[in-house]
Order: sequence, then C-alpha cells, then structure tokens
Amino acid sequence: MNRMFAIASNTFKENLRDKILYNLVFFGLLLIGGSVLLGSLAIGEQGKIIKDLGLASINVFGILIAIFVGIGLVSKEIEKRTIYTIIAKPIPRYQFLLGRYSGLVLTLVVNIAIMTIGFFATLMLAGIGFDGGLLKAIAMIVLELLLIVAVAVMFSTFTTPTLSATFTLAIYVIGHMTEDLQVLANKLENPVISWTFNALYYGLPNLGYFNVKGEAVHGSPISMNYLLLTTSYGIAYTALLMIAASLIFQRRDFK
Amino acid sequence: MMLRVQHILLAVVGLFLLLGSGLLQMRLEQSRESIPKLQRFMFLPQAEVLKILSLGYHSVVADFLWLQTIQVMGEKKVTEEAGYWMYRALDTVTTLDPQFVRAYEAGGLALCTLVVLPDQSNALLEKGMKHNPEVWQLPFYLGINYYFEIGDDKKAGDYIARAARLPGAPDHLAGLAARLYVSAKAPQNAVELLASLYERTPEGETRHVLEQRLKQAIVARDTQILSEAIGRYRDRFLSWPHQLEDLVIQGILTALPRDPSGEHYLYDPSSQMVTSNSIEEKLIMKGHRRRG
Repeated sequence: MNRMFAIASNTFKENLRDKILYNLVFFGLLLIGGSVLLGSLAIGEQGKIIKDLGLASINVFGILIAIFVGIGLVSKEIEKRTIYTIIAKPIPRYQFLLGRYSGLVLTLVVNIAIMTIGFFATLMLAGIGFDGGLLKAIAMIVLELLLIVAVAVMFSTFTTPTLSATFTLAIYVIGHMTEDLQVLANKLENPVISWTFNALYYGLPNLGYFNVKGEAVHGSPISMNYLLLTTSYGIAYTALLMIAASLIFQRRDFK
Repeated sequence: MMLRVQHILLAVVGLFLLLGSGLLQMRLEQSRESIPKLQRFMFLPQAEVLKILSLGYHSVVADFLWLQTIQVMGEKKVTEEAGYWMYRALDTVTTLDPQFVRAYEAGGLALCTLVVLPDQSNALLEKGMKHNPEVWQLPFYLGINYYFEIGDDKKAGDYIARAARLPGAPDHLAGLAARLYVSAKAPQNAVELLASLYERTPEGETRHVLEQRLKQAIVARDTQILSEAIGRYRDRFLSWPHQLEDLVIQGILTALPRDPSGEHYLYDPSSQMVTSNSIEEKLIMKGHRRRG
C-alpha cells in the first residue's frame, strides 16, 4: 500500500512540476473578466451568469486536465522508458496503475478546491453571497472527473496518447449525449436505431447524471438520495474501468 | 552580424504582419457594421439539437444566447422579423434552461411592447408557467396580454386569479382579477376567488380590502342576475317590471337576493338600473387596450 502512495505522491509532484496549476490563472481571468464584462449586460442576471460561468469553467478545466494528463499517465512512463525500472520492482502492476490514477485525482481535487475558493470569492465580491447548493454541483463534477480519468487511464494502457485522447473525448461527448439521443431515437420508431442507441445508453457511462449545474444555479432541490445514487453509480463505473485497465495492463508485454 | 540582420529582418516582417492584421481587422469590422446585428445570428440551430450539442453546458449556452437576444431587444427599432427571431431565440434559451425565469418575463413583455406578437409572447409565458408553476409573474403577464392585446377578459381574469393565488403575489392582484371577471360578465368567478383568498388571509389590512372587494363582487353578481331576470321579464311580458318583487311573482326568480349588508337591492323602473344602497363602488376595469 505504501508503494502505491509513493507512486501517487510522485505523480502529484510530477503534475505540479508540469505547471498544471497554471490553468488556475486562466480560470481566474475568465471568471473575473466574464463577471465584470457580462454583469453589466445581463439585466439583473449577473448572479446566474457568474454561477453558470464558474461551474462551467471548473468543469471544462477539470475535464481538460483529466483527459490530457490522464492519457499520459502510462504512456509517458513507456515513452521515457521509466516503466522498465518500475515493473522490474516487486510491485503489482495494478498498484502502479492505481497509484498513478490516485496521483492525478489528487491533483484534480487540489485544483478544483482552489477553483472553488476563487469561485466563491468572486460570488462574495460581486455581492451575490455564499450559495452552499453549488457545492453539490461541484461534488458531482469531481465524480465525473474520477470517471473520465479512469477512462483515459484505461485507454492509455493499450493505445497511443493521441488515440487515447480521441477515445476519451469521444466517451465524454457520447456520455453527455446518450440520454438525448435515446429519446430522439425512440421518436424515430426505427427498431435498429432504437436498439443501437439503447445499447449505447446502457453500455456507456451516462455522464448526464453528474450534471446538476442548472439545478444548483437555480436553487432547485437536489435530493440526498439522488446524490447518493449518482455517487454509487460513479464509483461503481470508475471501479469497473480501473479493473479493466488493470487487467489489460497486466497482460501487456513491454519487451 | 548575419544573425543580427536576420533578427532585425524578422522583427520588421513581424511588425508589418501585426500592423497588417490590425488593419484587416478594422476593415472587417467596418464591413460588418453594415450587417444588422440580428443577421449575424440568423442561423440558430433547433433548440433540441443545441441542447444535445451543448454537452451538459446548457446553462452557459443559454446565457450566451440570452446576451445576444437582449442586444437585439436594445436595437433602436425592432422589426417584426427581429421579433420572430427574438421569439425563436428565447424559445431556445428556455429549452436549454427551462428555469430561466427572467427570459420568460423579459421575452413575454418585449414581444408585446417592442413588437406586437401576442401569440408568441403567450406561448413563451405558457411554457414558463409549465416549468415554473410557482412564479406568479408569468400568469400575471399572460393575464395582462389577454386583457390588453387579445381583449379576452375572462381568460385575463383566469390567469391573474392564478397569479393571485401564488406565493409572493401582490395583494392587489385579487382585486384586479375580480374586476376582469366582472368585466367578462363572470362575477361568480370573482366571488369564488375573493372568498377563497379571504378565507386563507389572516386578520389585517389585506383581509379588510379583500372583504370590501368580495362585497363589491357579490353586488356585481347579484345585479347581473337581476338585470338578466329583468331582461327575461321584458321578453315574456313586453314591458319592464314595476318592482323587483314582480320577478318572483311571475316565477322568473325563486327569491330576491339581498346585498352583503342584508338590505334589498334598489330598482329604478325608468332606467331598469339595479343598485345597492350599501355598496356603491363598482368593480370596473379602467384603462386602454390594444384590442377588445
């Protein structure tokens, strides 16, 4: 277990060295700039726009890091040939994978925590005040990121970084579309299309579950039951992907 | 030496390119000025498609489109074409973010003030009510549209009565709805609305005002019943009744109603007017309207 923590901690430090946290500057500029510029145009909807913009920025920056750092977690080790020194050591491959995954998750959590502080500070400065309901939306974003990192890691265990990025991005896009596509497909009343979209709907992660940004911004109730169910779904899917990634990585030949 | 010359050359070329791109940008801006703002956003994907394409960022896309729409609203003159685009844009905004109450409110008002598109305004407000049933402003604006634009006082009364029952609605809405019902010759609806609101309102100024309005509505209802009965009497006997009791004697009414103070209604045989001695103020709608 200690070895896994060492790998996780090393991954976290590596991400910091790669200046991952620089994205926070862009986040701050986007949020503050957007708030100042759009606030005067929005006819009384400044609060809504800052909240929407803030949550969307946290989500987008998180997703970009999850995908583009996630795909390099394994492939970078292979490219630099550092993987040989690691797999030669008495450490199970799944622990290596979990360590790398945890390191990136830690980076993301730190990143999002800082972005959240900045977000709430902007809301306070704009005179909108603290809104605890937004934390529920941020928690769901974190869960979505856990899943997306797992997707990226899984692809990076058997394919190139470019293909991993493409596949993960595709999963992210389709994951947000399955629900709507299923509704549209059912409207078409074509059994083949309907069956295909149903298969996609049940086979791929439904990322729409993690999207409660709208409800949080409007102060609509988000039940604890829903949050618990979604959390369980997110964790179960992430675990499934990590098991698949470990199995693939275990069988991979590095000769 | 050679390297320095190369650097200077590159810097000069870079400077020219920077200047050139700046000039081109200015030229492009000038050419765009002739295109109306609306035309630049004429192509708007279907709301359902946009919702799918926005990948969970519905609210941000709705905000962006909202900002574009209010730019169009702010134009010096809003044409009918722009009005139709505004409606489509607002419909898209509210499909992306169905709880965006401000878009329904501002859109509903703009579509009946900046342009005259009451059907579109009503459609937007109806959609808003479906998604935000607790917001009193939406049925209120619909009621206003039905009164001012369509001239249907009964429907106007129904919507304003609905608004009056919602939390946070101003106290005067009940009176307004009652006036509309009386104007639409449906005073019984006014009585029912005011009675139900009176029942659930705690003691105080509002309850007192509601009581007064309720009495006025009762008088309006009773005088309407009596006037209709007088009309039927005239149809049957080809003469006006000499007193209200004649209506009962001839079997047109089973009994004569009394006003809220328990007094008999007054009848003037020369003008056939029925009035109440105790409640003089009448529930009537004042103000101009576009239609009706």
